[in-house]
Amino acid sequence: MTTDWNNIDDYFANRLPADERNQFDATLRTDEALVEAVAFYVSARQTLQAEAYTTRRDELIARKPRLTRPTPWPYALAAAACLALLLGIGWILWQPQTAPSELADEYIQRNLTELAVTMSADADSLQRGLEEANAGNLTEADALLTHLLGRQPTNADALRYAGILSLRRGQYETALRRFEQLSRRTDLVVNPGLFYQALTRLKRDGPGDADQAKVLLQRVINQQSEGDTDAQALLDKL
Amino acid sequence: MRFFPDTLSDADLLDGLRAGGANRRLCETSLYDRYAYFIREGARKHRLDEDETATAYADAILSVIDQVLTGRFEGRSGLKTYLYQIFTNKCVDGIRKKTTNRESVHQQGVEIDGILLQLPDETRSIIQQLIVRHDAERLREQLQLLGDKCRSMLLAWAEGFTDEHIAQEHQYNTAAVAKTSRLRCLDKLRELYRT
Repeated sequence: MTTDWNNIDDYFANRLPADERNQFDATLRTDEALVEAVAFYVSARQTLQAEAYTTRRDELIARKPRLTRPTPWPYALAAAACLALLLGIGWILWQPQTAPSELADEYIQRNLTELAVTMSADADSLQRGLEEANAGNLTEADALLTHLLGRQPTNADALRYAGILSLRRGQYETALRRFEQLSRRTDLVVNPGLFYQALTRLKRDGPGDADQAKVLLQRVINQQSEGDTDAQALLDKL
Repeated sequence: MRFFPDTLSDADLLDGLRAGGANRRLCETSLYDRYAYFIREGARKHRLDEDETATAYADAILSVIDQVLTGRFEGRSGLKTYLYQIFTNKCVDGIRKKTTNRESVHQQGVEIDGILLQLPDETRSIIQQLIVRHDAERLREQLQLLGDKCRSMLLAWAEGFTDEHIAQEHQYNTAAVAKTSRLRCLDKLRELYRT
């Protein structure tokens, strides 16, 4: 005789309506097969529960979680670090200080926009280059001065103005290279190479540029090189 | 309810356990991980191996879960306090077992399976006698002879998971189909047991 497991399952899960439940109870009193099936159902469930318990306990033990009490200190340190960062940002934002690149812009606008020829070994090329620069044709001016430098690598004016053009065009590495070359000249009466290097670093304002600019500006002041007055003014603002 | 277990409150954990299904499993694991430091602290305090306190801790966790699911945890104390008390008792049982070869001092006698109480008095005692005569060890052995799917479904049912959850876990279309399969597995287990 087939066992009605569905009925037994519904009985113990309280899914049987009252009249069917009563019928089940009544049948239990007389039906040995049903009694045996119910006994197996309950017994199997107990054994399965014990087996599931053991399996689940072994799974949990196998997890190997952290065995140290979580400390609030990492969170406290993180909170303190965040607070320090916020305070630092606030301090920076509230400082009445002009950015280095802005200082450089002010100087370039005031002093390096209109270029005048002081002396030249090849006045025509240099003059044409400066005229192009003053007209705002920086690319053409750069090309003329670069060509001139190719023919006259020791032309200090060409080197100076080519460096200024590179600075105004945002070609900072080229500008620095030209100004460094200029600053190494010992035959010039006035040599703005150091000052222009500082100016280029202020304008670029990359990592470490501001600090390096301060060092250069101080050297200009100490050596009383060309631009020392402007150097002092810039240092005061930095 | 948020489902990032590491940040669940006690109340959310309890709700998740009672919700059943996948949430219950996640919350069980979360609860276990959250207070697992009891294992090392218990080993230090009670001078037991960490293996012994790990077993005591797992037993305590499963005990708490069972009490939450059956409504016996009333929430009068916090979950951590409650768990710690049970864990401490399990550790003391472990110490006593080592020193006197006696079992749990905290055992409250053999409990009658609650579902038996649903039966009329006159048939309950008969069925209890039949149950006592059953060979649980043999049944456990035969359980291993069932296929993985059958065994998994029966174990899930015994743990209290619904047929809806079993259907999802075993890719059955409906809870009704899962139930039919589960009962077919139970019938198969009985056939194995009888042979």
